[in-house]
This record gives sequence, C-alpha cells and structure tokens, in this order.
Amino acid sequence: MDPSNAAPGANPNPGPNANGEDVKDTKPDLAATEHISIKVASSDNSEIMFKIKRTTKLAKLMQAYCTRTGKSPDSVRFLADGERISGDSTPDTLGLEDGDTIDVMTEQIGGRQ
Amino acid sequence: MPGGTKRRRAAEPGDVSGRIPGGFPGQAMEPEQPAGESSHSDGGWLEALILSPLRLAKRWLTGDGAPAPAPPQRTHAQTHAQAHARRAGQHRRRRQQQHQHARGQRRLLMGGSGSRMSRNAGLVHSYTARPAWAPDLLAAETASSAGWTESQRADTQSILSVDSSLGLRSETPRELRAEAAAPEKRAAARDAADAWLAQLRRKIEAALSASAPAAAAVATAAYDRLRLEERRIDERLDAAQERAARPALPGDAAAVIAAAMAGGFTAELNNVPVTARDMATLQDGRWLNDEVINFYMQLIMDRAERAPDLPRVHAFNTFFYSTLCESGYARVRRWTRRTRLFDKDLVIVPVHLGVHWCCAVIDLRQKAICYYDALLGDNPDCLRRLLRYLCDESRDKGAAEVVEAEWSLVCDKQIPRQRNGYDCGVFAIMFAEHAARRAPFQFSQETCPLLRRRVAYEIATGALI
Repeated sequence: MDPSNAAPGANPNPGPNANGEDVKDTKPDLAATEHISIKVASSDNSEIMFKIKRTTKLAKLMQAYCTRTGKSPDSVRFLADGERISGDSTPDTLGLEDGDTIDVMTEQIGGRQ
Repeated sequence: MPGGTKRRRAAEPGDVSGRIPGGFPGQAMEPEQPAGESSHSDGGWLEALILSPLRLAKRWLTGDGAPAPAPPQRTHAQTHAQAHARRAGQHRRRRQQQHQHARGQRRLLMGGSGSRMSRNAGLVHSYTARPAWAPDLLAAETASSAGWTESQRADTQSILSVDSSLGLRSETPRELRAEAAAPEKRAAARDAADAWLAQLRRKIEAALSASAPAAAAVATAAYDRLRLEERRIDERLDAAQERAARPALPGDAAAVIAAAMAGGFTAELNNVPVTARDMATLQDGRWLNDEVINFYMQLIMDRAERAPDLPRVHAFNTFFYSTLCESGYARVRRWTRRTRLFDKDLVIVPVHLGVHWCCAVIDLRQKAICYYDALLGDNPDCLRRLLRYLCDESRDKGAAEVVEAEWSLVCDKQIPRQRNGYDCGVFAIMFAEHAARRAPFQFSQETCPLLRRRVAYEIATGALI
C-alpha cells in the first residue's frame, strides 16, 4: 500500500486481513498475473489500493474496505463507472482492468433544506 | 404642438426641410438663430437650438453686449425670407427677451445657486435632455415668446424644466450625439431626475398614508388568512382529484408494505439493491435515503423501456450530481458508457443537497433543463452545471454539438410545494415520476402519506402502478 494514498484513520500497517486471504494490500513484490490492482476512491478523495484475483467476488473487497476504514457496510455504496457493484460480481464479470477505480459513496439522506 | 410632432415624425430621414422646425408655429423665426457654422449641416438646427441659449447665457454672464452675428441665409429657409426681412428689426429685442427667459429658467432649475459653470450646464441641459415632442415646445418658445403672455412663458418654462428634471433621453441619433458630447450635462440630468422622482415619491406616499393606514393593515391580515384558507382548500381538492385519478392500492398493499419494512427484506433491480432498512425510510415523517430514490429511478427507467408510448428516459443515480460537482466531468465521463444519452428524450438527475432532495430534468428534445425544488429554492448553479455536462458529454461521445445558447434553464416554481421538514424525497421522486411521462404534477403535500405507501408498494413489487 502506498502510504500517501491511505485513507484517514486507516492503519498504515494492517498486516494480514481478517476477512480473507484473497484481498491484500498492494506490495511491490506481489505481481502475480491473476491478481489486479483496484483503487477504491471515496468522495473525500482518499484512495486505498487493493490487490485482488480476477475471479474473487467483490464482496470481499467491500468487506475489507469497511473493516479498514471503520465504515458500516450499510452506509457505503460501491460504484464502477457510476453503476452499483453487486457483491457477487468479480473483476472479470465487470470487466475491471488492472489499475481501475471503484468509487465509494456514502449514504445520502434528505428531508428538508 | 401634436400636429408639429406628427409632421416631424412623418418626415423622411433625408428630408431636410421636414426636419427643420419650419412647420412649427414659430417657423419664421428659425433662420434667425445665431447658429453659426453648424447650421449649415442638415442637423444644424438642433445644434443651433442647443448652442444659442448657451451663447446667450455666456454673453450675459461675461457681460459681453456685442450683437449676435448676422443669421446665415439658408436655402431651405428662402420661402420665409420675406418674413425674415420683416422681422429683422425685432431681432435685437427678441434676443434680450430670450436672454431674460434663460435667466429665469436657470434660476428655476438651479435654485439660483451654484457656480457659473454648473448653472450653464443646467441651463443647456434643459434643452438637450428633452423627449421627442419637446422640439415643438422649444421651437415655439425660442421663436415666438415675444408675442406671449407671461403665463404662457411660465407654462413653457415649467414644462421644459420638468422635462429636464426627468432626464428623458431624446430619440434621434443626432440628439443623442449632442447629448453624448457633454457627460457633465448628463450627470446633471441624472441628478435632477433623481431629485424629481424622490419628490414625486414623497408626494405619492404622503397621499397614500393619508388614506387610513390602519384599515389597510387589518385588511392585509384578513387577506392573508383568506389566502391561506384558499390554499388549503385547493390542496384538499387536488388531493381528492389525485386520489380519484390514480388507481387505488390493492387490498393486500398494507401487508406487502409491512413485509418490505420488516427485517430480512431485500430487492434488487439492475444491481441496485434495497433493504428493509432502506424501506423503513418510507415511513411517515422519515427522511428518504439514496437507496429508495435510486431504486425508484430504476423503476422509472424500467417502465419507460416497457412502454413504447412513453418518452425514452435515462435516470442518473443520486451520486451523479454530487460527483459531477465534487470532481468534475472527468469522474463521470464513463458513467454513460452503457447508455446512449443523446438518444433519450429525458434525463432525470436526482439532486442531493446535503439534507435536501431536489430533482432536475433534462429535456433533450425541447432543449430545456428544469429544476424542481419542493421548497421552491433557486439553484442556477445546478442548471448551468448540467448544461455544461451536456456540452462535455456530447463532445466526448461524439454526439451532435450542444449549443448552450439554444437551451433554456428553468427553475420551476409553479409546482407542488413541501410544507414540512421531511417529505422532500417523496416530492423529488414524484417530480421525476411525473416528468418521465410528461404528466402535469398532480400531487401535493396532502397526499404525501399516501404517496409514501404507494412508493413502498411499488418498490416491494418491483413495478410502478
């Protein structure tokens, strides 16, 4: 993981992920062909890089992101090119390429001005 | 005077003789104006009218008693040559009278105070800043005041001085040119006009306040009450009409809605999920969240695809506008890669403003962007941003160019209005739903509880009624 891209409050040295071995922070020495780097960018412009297998369900990445940032899974929405990502989809099914970005949005509510 | 005005207006632009004040009551006097060289041009009579009082005033102020230069002979005045000759002996006397007239008018205008320069400016101004009909008065006054009674002269003076204080602009280019040559005169004209208007306003206010102000206040309060009552009745009527116009929810709707708001419920349409937690925001008094609105946008698009007679609609999700605002076009450039946006008729853009939901609708056929805020707020930024987006998007996707000037940006205020602090999401959904079928907005605050149940039912069943 590139420290300059760390989300605020994120642990700079998280170690093994609690949720699954498939989701890993980017390391320069890890460049297996079946893995691609996905950038998860939130609306406050913080970005976290994840390395993920092309065939891994993105639910794992979402979980890892929430764990990492301490956000509730209910309160965040993941979008690829403006379209909602279902947890069952994989980088392959979405056609994500190495270095692509996933946007994270925060729940919006409104009632009055 | 009106006859003179008509004649003058009717004259052709090139018709010099029609433009000189030869047709006015004081026609014979015109060639006697000591206008000098400027009188030889076809617009000379005007400069003559302007300059002669100025020169007179200057002569008076400097004590120069030299006689006025002999009037130039002008071909267009030859028909009046006899009259001219007959009255030549009166010339000197008339100069003096005009001179005195000028003094009187100057006092009238400037209250007898001020420097020589400013007094002169005010004096000349009374001739330059007059409306189109004034040349008649002016010609008559400067020409034939010799034969006038004091009261006639006074009337003319007062009319001319009112003209000047109004600061009215004359209409012909020539007059404008003369006016443009003297900015300090225009400034004086503006000051005089301001003072005159202020005076008029004081008089009107005084006249109004004299007629029972207390009664007016009481009447206003009563009027407001009646207006409020009328509005409530209107809303109840609208609600009744709407209930009659829309099919009622099926008998099992209550059970379906209750189940959708209970734990464990999830639905999904085009990958847009909604859960019981989101459905619960449709309970009365709660703020709607993005999931409900985004799901409903999918329902609207779904309906439009199924019904060929409805407009083709693309609805963005609630994050589109906020992303466009925060990160610009580049970040939303790929959001339409699966959609040919410019093949649609309507594009719906839900707008989230921190704690408030609004809705913008882009009509690609009528080239209009409408903004609907149930609290009747203004958002010109949003309209401009969306138009900017269309320009960028058309360029990026190679669609026909969007020409900004052809588009109208509308912040519609003649719309159903929210009267509480929690229903704006329902309004935003309803603006979108009605606009998507180009239907008039037939809903109101009164029906919001009903609309919440309807929306919940439609989401739970996955189709619009």
